[in-house]
Amino acid sequence: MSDDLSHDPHLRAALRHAPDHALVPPAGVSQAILSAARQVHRPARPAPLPPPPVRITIARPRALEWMHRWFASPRIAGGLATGLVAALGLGLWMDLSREPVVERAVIEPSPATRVRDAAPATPPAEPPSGVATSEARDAVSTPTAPATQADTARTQRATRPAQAKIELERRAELARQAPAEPTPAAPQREDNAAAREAATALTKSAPPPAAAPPAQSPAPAPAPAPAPAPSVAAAPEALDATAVHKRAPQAMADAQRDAATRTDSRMSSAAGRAAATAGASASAVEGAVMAEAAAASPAFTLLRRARSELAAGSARWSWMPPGSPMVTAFDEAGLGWLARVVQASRGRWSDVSERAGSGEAIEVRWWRDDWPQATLRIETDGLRWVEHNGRVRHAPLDAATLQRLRNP
Amino acid sequence: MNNDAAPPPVHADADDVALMSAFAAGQVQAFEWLYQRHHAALYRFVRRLLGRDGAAQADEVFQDTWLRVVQAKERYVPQGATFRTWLFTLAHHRAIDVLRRSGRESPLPADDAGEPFVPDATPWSDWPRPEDAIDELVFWRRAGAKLLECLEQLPVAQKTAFLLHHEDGITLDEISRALDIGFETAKSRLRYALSKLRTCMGAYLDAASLRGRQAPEADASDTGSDTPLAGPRRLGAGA
Repeated sequence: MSDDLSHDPHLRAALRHAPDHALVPPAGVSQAILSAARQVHRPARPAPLPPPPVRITIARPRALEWMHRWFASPRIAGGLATGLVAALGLGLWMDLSREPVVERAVIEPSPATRVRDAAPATPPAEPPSGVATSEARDAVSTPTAPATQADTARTQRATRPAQAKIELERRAELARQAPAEPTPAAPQREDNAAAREAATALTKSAPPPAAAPPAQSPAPAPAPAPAPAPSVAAAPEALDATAVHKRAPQAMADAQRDAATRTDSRMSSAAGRAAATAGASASAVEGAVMAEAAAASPAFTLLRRARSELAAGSARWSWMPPGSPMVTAFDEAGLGWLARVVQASRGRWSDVSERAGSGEAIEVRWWRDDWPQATLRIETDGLRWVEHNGRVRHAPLDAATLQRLRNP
Repeated sequence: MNNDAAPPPVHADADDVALMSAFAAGQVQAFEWLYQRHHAALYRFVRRLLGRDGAAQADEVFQDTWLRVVQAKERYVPQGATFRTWLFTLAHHRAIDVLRRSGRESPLPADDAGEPFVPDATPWSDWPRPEDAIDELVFWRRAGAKLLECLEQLPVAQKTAFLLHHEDGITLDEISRALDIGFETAKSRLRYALSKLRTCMGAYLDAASLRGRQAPEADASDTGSDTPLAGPRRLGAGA
């Protein structure tokens, strides 16, 4: 070894006099080291025996345990979670794609109607005043004897046409709650309201006979058939409620036929709806559609509206009878004459553009609270109905019928 | 180590192996004497090995080294090296681990290949002249501070060889065995370390400046080196 590798006294002296020569480890570190050294030689104490492990086992059937493990496995649990999410998404999608059914909630039968449906074998009697309000009928029909469930079901099947009428009546009541003043710019809406009123008129003007035996179930309504041409002799019967009631289904069928013969696209759609629903005539919804189609008759619409408002006293109606220059109150006589018009012109109305035809004509006008409502022109070839909103409809009639209508 | 027979009680002046054996036999006081004997030198060694940047880990390395001693009390066998060499070797390994973990372990230079040393810096020359020093103690304190700065510039391997050899008096044979390196490698590392340090301290250690000044407490009795010092010499390339 060379001298260069021997201890350098100067470097060693410098090391011994270096500032860090007096450094000592921190007391804490020294104490920790010494404590560790003492710890390893501390007399070992007998370690307390650990308590015997208590195995808590829950008596569980093997099948349940197997199912628990099966469901808890990640693969099965993941699959179930995926299925749940997919089902939830599908349900939401189906719920979004479903159209809201608002009208269904509107036509929910009232308790009174349900009472009537449960005991249709006892038709309510017509109030003495002849004003057939639903409340009065409900009051009359409430004390009827309850029937058994079997009888009720059988009776309901047998009296579906009557239920249809009740449905029409209820829709008419809803229509009365709407604003009575029609809007000129919305003829379609007016037609709908008129349809409801027409349905109500049909129901009110055709109550079941009061003299009918209670145990006798009402006969089913006859199938819609083409009605014969109105005759002058039948005109007085139009005011007779019983007679009108007998012809009510026929009138509805005529109204349906009237709607079907519409050339107007709007009315064609209504007629299409009526025709589409004619197949299931027992349904109350179909009856409502038929009533809506029947509203295509403007005379019928005016008749029902005037009758209901006159009965309720909610409006003052006046008219200028045919051949008379005087304006008088629109009373029962006027209603009867208008009913004749309805009978004579059913299924014949169609929209036209001309407000007046050729030849001489007799005008009949109606006012409601001094506001003009409609004008009926009895022309040589038929009837022309001009409403205050400008809509014009024409019903061709034969000369004999027109002649009878010229005499109020 | 046979633990069946209780070893005779040891005293504070017993050698390291006897104290370690007594500690392994259950005499805690023996460990405390060992600790008092070596704790300061070991702590300095760890601090100097880690340098200023690793001073924060000095306590950790120091404590972990002693805990390893405690854990290895029954496995300790002298095997040709003294307890002190074994203790400083444990600390060295722990310090290397810390330096590696912190990414501050500098790669070994090409000193192991035996290439000649070429100084890469200007030798230190700002040291005040010895004759201007107030007294000897102040002079050597300043020299010690300068030496610590010079140590910061040494690679860890060279620093280890120098510190173990000059500070702790461990011979090159023990260093080579403790660090599991060849003797020539250990010698080369020491040579490079001394050469760099002399270059760094050259102005101060200039023979002319040190003429007539003896290194304090410089005796060959505690060096353990093969060649006793012959007095101040001109060392370093740049001196």
